[in-house]
Amino acid sequence: MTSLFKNFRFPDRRALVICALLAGLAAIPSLVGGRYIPAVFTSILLFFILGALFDFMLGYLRIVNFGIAGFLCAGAYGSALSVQYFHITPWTGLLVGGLASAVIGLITGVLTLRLRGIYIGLTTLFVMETLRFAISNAREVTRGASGLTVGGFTPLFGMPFPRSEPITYYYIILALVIVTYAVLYAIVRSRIGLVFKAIRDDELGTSVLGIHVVRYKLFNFVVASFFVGVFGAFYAHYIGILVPTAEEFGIQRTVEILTIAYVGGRGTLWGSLLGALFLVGMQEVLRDLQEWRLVIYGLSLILIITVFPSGFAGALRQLGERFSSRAGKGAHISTKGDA
Amino acid sequence: MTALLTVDHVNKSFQGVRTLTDVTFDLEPGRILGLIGPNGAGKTTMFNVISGIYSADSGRVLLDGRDITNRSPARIAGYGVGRTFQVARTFNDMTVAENLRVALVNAGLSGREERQRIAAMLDRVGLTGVRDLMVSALPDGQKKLLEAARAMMTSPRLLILDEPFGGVSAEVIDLLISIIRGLVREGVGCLVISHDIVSLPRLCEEVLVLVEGKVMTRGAISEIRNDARIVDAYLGA
Repeated sequence: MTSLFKNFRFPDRRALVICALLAGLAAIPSLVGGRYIPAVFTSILLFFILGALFDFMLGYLRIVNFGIAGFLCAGAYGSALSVQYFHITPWTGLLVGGLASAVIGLITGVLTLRLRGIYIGLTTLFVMETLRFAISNAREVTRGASGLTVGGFTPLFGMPFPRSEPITYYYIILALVIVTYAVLYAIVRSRIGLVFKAIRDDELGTSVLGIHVVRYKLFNFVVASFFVGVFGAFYAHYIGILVPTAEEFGIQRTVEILTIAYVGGRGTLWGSLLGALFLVGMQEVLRDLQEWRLVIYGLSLILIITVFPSGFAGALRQLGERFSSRAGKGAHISTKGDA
Repeated sequence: MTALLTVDHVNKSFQGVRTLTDVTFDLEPGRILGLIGPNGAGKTTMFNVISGIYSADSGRVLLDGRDITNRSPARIAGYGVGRTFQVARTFNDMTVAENLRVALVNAGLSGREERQRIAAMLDRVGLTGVRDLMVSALPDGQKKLLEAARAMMTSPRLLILDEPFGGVSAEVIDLLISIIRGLVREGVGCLVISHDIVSLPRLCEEVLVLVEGKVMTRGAISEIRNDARIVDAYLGA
């Protein structure tokens, strides 16, 4: 598959915009200071990348992974338990968490990716719930519902990462997000990404060109699972205690992630950043309204999905196309921009 | 000469309804065979069995002597079978050039070689002027042309075309016929389903007639036209 990356060009205009955006994201929390803003921005980045990973599967190959929170759980517990029982560093734990999730992704993918639509979604959901209940029941190892205490990141090259300073964790996740986004971006802009789009458009039309559709789906699914696991591992060491509840690693978490991908806009990757900024930001802004914030939050989501069915990114794209057609450019010329 | 394609006593049913019954025929390289018959005769089912979309209940399909029966569509395409569909299955959310590029992902070409191959094919099928247009903006005739071009990009040894002239302008039909004839001169075997009784004789001299899933006859178009059984089968449909 290495030859498939041959036509990838960097930097291009979109990549530069993204780099500028990330530079801004790096600067804001440190300029504002305190503990609250870095914590909020850490949430935004975490939900952004999870939304982008969900979109990498759904928006590019129509793989509906209702069990994404289960893969997050695999990464979190994979890292936390490895640190506890095998005494590896949390940094190595990131890799272990990613691999744990990738292995589950590989097994799930081999079993389900020949299926279509709702069947994949349901199977991933079952995998998530099975994993969550297995963790709940294996109390001797995982401490189940009592919660597993997880240590923070250890010093790296002499640099400490105390939990009392959220800004340090913010920079860890920022670095992880940049690396992950760069990998996803490189994939979707390469020949592999072109094949993803072909499969999304017409699976049968792609397979009669000699392309093994299931292999590409499996590649996509395992890559996404790996990175979800890495962020699960980060989450474990960031939050400090793991409890296998539905809010943390069940359907509620999945719904949050897929909402960000849908509100942000599918098939773009970057749309999830808009989704995460809006949804996490809104939750924070409305926090004082207590229960009423959930009502307002829900109504806002209904409104957004109704007004912008293709999400914020789709709305921006349409706006851009209108601009370019007014500027005399042919609107029918390829303007489809991915990632 | 060894047959390029051998269809050997193939049977196919859907929920107990026989769609293909003991279908047997072969095709030599560098030849074109038309597949005709009334609606529901099993022509497209036959194509789908050859290209691996449907699995045969029994019988064999051989390509150059290799048994390709019930292999996956991707594997069969890899063996050298290119195909088009009755309704063009182009990638409408991509440009014309990108559609052709997808067909080259397994070719192991450099970016430059890839661009050259795409430019040559676009030139050959007369789509150079629309190379950067989204396929969704193309008329159906050009989509058919693009789909045929995409199948040709995989360098098939056997090309199977399902209704290539359906909904296509006279100019595009002329172009398609000339391209297919060119390929056949290069040794490619070609199977064509068509209801276009005007254009089909311009493309091939020999046809296989399928009626109710069975091979009724095979022969020159001039002979078939006068066969009372075939006239009955068509009129009866």
